[in-house]
Amino acid sequence: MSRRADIVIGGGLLAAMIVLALLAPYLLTGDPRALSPGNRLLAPSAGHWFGTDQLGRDLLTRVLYGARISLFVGFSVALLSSLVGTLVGMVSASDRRLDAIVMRVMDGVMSIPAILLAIALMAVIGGSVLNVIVAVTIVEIPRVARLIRGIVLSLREQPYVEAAVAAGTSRPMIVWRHLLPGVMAPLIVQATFVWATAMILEAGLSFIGAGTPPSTPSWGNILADARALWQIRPTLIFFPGVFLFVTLLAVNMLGDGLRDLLDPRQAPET
Amino acid sequence: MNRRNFLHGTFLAAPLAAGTLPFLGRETLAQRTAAKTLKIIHNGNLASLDPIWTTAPPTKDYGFLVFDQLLAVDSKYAPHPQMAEGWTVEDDGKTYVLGLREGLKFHDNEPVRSADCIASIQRWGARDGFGQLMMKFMDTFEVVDDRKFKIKLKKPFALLPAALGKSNSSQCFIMPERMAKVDPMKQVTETIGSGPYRFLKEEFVSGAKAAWAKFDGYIPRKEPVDSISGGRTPAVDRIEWSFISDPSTAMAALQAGEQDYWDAPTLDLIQVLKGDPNIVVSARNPTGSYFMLQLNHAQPPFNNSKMRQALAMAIDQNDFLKSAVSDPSLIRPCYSYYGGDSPYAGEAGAEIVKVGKLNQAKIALKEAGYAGEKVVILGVMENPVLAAMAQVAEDVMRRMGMNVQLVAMDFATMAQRRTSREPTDKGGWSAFVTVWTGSDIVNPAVHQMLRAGGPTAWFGWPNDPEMEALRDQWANAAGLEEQKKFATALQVQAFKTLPYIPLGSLVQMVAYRKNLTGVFPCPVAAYWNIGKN
Repeated sequence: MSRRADIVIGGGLLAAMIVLALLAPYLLTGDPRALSPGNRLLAPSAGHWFGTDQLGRDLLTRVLYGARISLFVGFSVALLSSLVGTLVGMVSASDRRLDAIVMRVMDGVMSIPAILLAIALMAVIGGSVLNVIVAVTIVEIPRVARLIRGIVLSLREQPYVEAAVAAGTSRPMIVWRHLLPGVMAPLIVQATFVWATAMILEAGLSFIGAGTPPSTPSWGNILADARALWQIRPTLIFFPGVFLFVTLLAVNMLGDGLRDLLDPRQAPET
Repeated sequence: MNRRNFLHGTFLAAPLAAGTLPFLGRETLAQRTAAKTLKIIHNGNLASLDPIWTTAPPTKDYGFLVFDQLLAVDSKYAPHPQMAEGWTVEDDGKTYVLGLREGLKFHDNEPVRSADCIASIQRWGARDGFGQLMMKFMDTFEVVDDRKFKIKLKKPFALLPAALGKSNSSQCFIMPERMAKVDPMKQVTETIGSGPYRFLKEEFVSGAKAAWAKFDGYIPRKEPVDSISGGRTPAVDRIEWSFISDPSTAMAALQAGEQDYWDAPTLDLIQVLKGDPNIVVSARNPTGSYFMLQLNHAQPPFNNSKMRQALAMAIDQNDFLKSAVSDPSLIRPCYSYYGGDSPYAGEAGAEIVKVGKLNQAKIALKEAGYAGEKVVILGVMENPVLAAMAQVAEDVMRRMGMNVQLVAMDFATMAQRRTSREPTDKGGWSAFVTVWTGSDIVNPAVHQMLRAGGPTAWFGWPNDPEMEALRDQWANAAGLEEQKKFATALQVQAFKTLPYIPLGSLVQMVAYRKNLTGVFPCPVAAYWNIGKN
């Protein structure tokens, strides 16, 4: 598949998902938390397109509201970890002694499996959407920081950077004019992968009860609620699963397409 | 026949003919071991090894395997001797003389002595509701010899045998004296009992598995089993519990034959299990499960009785019960503080829990002076029924306008956190959904949740001297009619105090493989007498 097709399909699906998430309150009048135990586990019908869950809540409403949480968490983590990771990576690359300390800390964080670190952080700071963002951001920062550090170490050996140094350009200006533009392309690509990873982590944390509170609809929560009942109502797993799958596919396709577009060496030969 | 098939047949046929592969024709060692091991999917982790310290169901079930009781009630709650040979009543009902059966010993092969029994009764009497009631009548204990002792009372207490032999909530298990001397407010760490199975502490992995081995020194009674009375025969060599919190995984393990027994199958999956010809589904506990919304009387906002009453007005039992299961035949609303099979079951005073009107509740909440105090609900998410009901409770409170937070956790965490009497912002709590069996709430003596002695009451610590007085009056009542009068008065008072809000009852099921034998009706999860073909 060409890079342009990746971007168009991935971007299009992601945009569609964002639009659905943003318009969720206007598309449907239902409250995703409104219980109706008398209507539990209904099959998909005209009244409930995706059916209802074990507490009689409309599954379509919950899946669309769940998209808001997943996309918001994914985007927020991608943005925050990119900003902080870039800062950490650049600072680390700029000073050899600081580099040794910062990178060992980053190595330490990365040595702990992401999901375990996220669970530990959630256990300390408690379950809420904002805390999920904080926990997953902390998990993702080292990956961005390491990438940026490596690129900056390479860039600063480039003749145009050495020329700027020789010309007496201030360090902030070198960073702003010469280094930052050089890291933007890989950073954008990395951000899309962080976005996808964050969505998976959020779903995983919520699935095991360590993420968003049970009353807040997120895809992980919806899947967790359904795991006991999928044999008798498979749609409870199917619909949120498909939404999670399609969104992750879209983000990854977008990331692949952007990587190929921004780094021609990586592009498939045509 | 091609070359591969020929070689395959030759290699197998030759040794068989020579009789050198006997395992192909006979039962293997692994098969024999499997037949002697009862594998149970247990609902909830074994978080504590002290059945006197906690009433958590897994610990209670552990207690019935490891420990034994002096007396034990039958299916009609009539007490019979268990470890005791029998008992006699002297001094116009003020002295009970109990003799121990010969040959009883603990798992460390020390004999069971009168001193062990007395220390165990004293520790249990400090914690259990029925025990505390009995202790109000106590004068002294007197050791006659190692196998006989006397319980001397200040005044007659006819319920003493029923108390010592009770089946539900916290039982009077007999421990070695050194264990029974441990402060009742602290947990024992040893696992030495005199019951039919020895706990294999070295194999215990919290949250994953627990195992027991048959105690060869156990002498079961000869009488047939009837509820928890009669012979407690260890019918298998080994019992293993697996803690599988995911119902789908648990069901698959049972259907595949990897597990033999599931003590609390998810009610929504009952129909699937019934369709499996290798699985038996039955209501082993005929008294059913009763769900309650337990409230913290020690902290705002539910330390205010008006707040509790406002919440009770908003509760519709049908919403809670229907959130747990779709099959209406399994749902039984219950507007009583006693179980449906209790002689005291009735709806006297229950008007407040039959209101079920949100608007009325909102007005009552405002009049009670609710000022946005945070309400923390402890939600046990590993149990689908408790999880659903916790979410319904949160929904009701949110719609009433309360500042509510549902905190998701597993049962073991909840069992620890509910002991906290701190405010909600310091690790405390406001409410949680809990479940007891009908046998646990059959009368005021065993009913742990009707205790209202403040710090000595169950978690939530309701404090109502009038309820306590009515329970004492019930215990002193002369005849059945008078007992019923006081039990009913106690319920009416309880509906004013609202130690908890009744949420109704569900039929309780167990599921097990067809090759199990000896599964008997029982109000507790007892695993003795169950064998395996």
